[in-house]
Amino acid sequence: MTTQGMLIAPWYAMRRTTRWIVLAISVLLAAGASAFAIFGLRGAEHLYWAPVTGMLVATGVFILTLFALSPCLLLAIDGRKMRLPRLEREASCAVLLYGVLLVIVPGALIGSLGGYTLNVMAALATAVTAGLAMALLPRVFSFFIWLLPAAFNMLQPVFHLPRPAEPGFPLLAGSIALVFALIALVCWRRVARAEQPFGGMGAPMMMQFGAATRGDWGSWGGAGMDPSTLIRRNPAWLQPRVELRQSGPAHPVTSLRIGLGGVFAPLTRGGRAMQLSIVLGTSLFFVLQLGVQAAQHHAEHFNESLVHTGLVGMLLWGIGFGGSMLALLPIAQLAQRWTKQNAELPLLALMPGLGDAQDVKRRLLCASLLPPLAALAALIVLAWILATLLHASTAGTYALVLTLCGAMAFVSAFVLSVIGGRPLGRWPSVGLCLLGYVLFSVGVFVPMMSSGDQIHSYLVWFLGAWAVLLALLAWLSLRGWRGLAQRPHPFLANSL
Amino acid sequence: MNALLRSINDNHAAPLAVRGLSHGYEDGQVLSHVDLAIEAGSVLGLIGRNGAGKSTLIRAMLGLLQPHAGECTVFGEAALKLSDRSKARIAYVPQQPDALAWLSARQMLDYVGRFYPTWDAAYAKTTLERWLISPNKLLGKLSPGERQRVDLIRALASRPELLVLDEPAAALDPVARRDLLREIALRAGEAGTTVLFSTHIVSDLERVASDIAFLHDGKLLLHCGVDETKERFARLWLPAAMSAAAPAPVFGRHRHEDGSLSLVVERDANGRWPEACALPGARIDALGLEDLFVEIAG
Repeated sequence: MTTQGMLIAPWYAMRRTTRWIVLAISVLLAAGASAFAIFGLRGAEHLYWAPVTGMLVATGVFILTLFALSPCLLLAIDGRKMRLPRLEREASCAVLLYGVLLVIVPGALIGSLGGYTLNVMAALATAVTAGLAMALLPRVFSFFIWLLPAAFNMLQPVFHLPRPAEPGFPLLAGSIALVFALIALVCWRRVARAEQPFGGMGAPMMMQFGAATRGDWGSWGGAGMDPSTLIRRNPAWLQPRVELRQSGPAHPVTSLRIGLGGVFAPLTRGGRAMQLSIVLGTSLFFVLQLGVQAAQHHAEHFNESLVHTGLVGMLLWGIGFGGSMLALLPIAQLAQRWTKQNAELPLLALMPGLGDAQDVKRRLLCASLLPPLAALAALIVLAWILATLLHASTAGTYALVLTLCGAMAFVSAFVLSVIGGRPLGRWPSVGLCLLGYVLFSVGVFVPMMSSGDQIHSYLVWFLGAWAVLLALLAWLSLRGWRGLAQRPHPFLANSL
Repeated sequence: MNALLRSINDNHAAPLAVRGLSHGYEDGQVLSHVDLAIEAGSVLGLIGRNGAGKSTLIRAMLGLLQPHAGECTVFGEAALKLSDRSKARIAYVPQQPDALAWLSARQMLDYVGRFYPTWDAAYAKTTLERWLISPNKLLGKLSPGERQRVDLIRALASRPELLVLDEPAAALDPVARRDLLREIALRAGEAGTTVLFSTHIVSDLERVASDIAFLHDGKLLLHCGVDETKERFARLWLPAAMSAAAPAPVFGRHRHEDGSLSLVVERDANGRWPEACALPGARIDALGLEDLFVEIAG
């Protein structure tokens, strides 16, 4: 075992794209935390400077552990399988070393400037161990770790749990960190020694980081992942139930939707009910949690209070976030389909009964665009009804509708670019998505802005940025449209 | 009248033909000026080393990629603009097929079968049973070998006139491979199906192929009948003293430690070996397909 090998292990363990994304997120979080500490709290003299900064840094540390440190397990598995015990030891020790450093270095730094050293270190230790546990637990359980901060907020007033700046916090956070550390240790040993660590629902979430993805869209919710890998990973009740009755040459569009699979495929009634129940179940949990939290804090004047605005804002944010995912999923799936030369493309290209080249292009556009656009249109109607019922502000409602319309433009532009054989490169795609996400996030805060000249100038910038984004998407659409017109048929694979 | 003309045209056009085909990727040229036509009813084995360009050639021939140069036709139609009528006559199984993972084997065959007028549902059902494939298991959950077999059933059940198989035996066990070869021979012999298949396994080729095409470094080095190769090519061994009289080799040329020389020679248009074969001490050895493959690609 060498020190150099141990230090470099996380870098080798990460996928190439993840490395830079993790690095960028870490830098942004560190910069954000520093900016907030300096400008928001006006420096270390502020009473709660250390605990607040510590919590912000802990969030970054959690993400760093989850995405950058946990993949060391992949390296350890490789080391074990290739009978390279040194590699396995280096990967394991790297996690330990970096885990300790992530607690001690920022903890000591923040503590020396603003006190609360133990509280901050306890929070950081919880973040490190929670990140590891989340990555290493089977996927079904790891989801619940996301809910722990919300659960803490809910339970804190009921059980009078200590807050981050209170003296009892190190003991509480330390105990939680110990539990997470034990969970992570047990999971690490279980997965590292398993014969088949990559399959089934028992496989940890982190295994997804090492799974094969295609089309430069990574594994957005498993969308960019190879469909066979995805199907082998999910349990029987989560498998798609595709409706085949309306297929054949008499129904070319539906047939193409079946051929494209994923979010495009028509489902049986049972399959649709299952899909809907998953979406509604998750949304219901989210709404209930917000409602309980709001009622606990401000039960007596729930309707007029700020909590109401917060609740509505978060609900609408949830719809906007759902809309963004609804836009990204079909794009990622389509990009994946158009990179494989031994899958659906040759089958569809040589399938008779879909019509001549012009017909196929038109029908393929219907098959690939209509399902996501219809879902987004339904979401707009739902958002409008909810906003009306909850008396959401007009500006907020318009911002949300704009976000969902933007999602529709995203789908149209990227779908056209993929099937037109002119897919956008990785980094321009990331740039456009980031711009869209920033605008969507800013849109959530529009109703919270004060009225007058200030909001007017914000709105000018906001709408101007949207105009730029839509213009870029229009250019991408046009480029894809021209590419599609020039293609002899649309089922030609795009090079990676 | 049009139908009659089209029928005459179909009967005369080669099921698959390429002329001056060139293609490449970012890392270099894959195919260079390939000319190849497959006669109706023949079984052509396409052989070459890994990366020789076999899959690219097959995909270009079927219009699954747009070549940089050249012309590809299927039943006389441009491969990139095939009509439904021609598509219904073709079946293609790619290397390691991975399509429609979200459907079960039965669903996939049902879905695809609706598009083919000559679909043999009974054949699909019985072969699925004979090859012990669970019809209700999702394709994504099948092993690579099972997946390959399901795709072969899909291709064969459409009763194609042209069957194109890219490394069809790669993931098959010996029993399934033997079954497949028997099926190919049967289809070609009884139904007159034209078959193009790529392979590394020379014994498969000897068993079913009527013609052979050697692809090496993107160039088509040889295209002739399988039996013809044994008659046409041989290895000539010349002792060291005679090696200066060696003719220009067709393919391989190896000088041994003792100075002797061995090289592959070909009969001329009149069926005669090169004159050097008659030199004192010269020896002519028959070449098997595998030896010829090694000489060409080694």
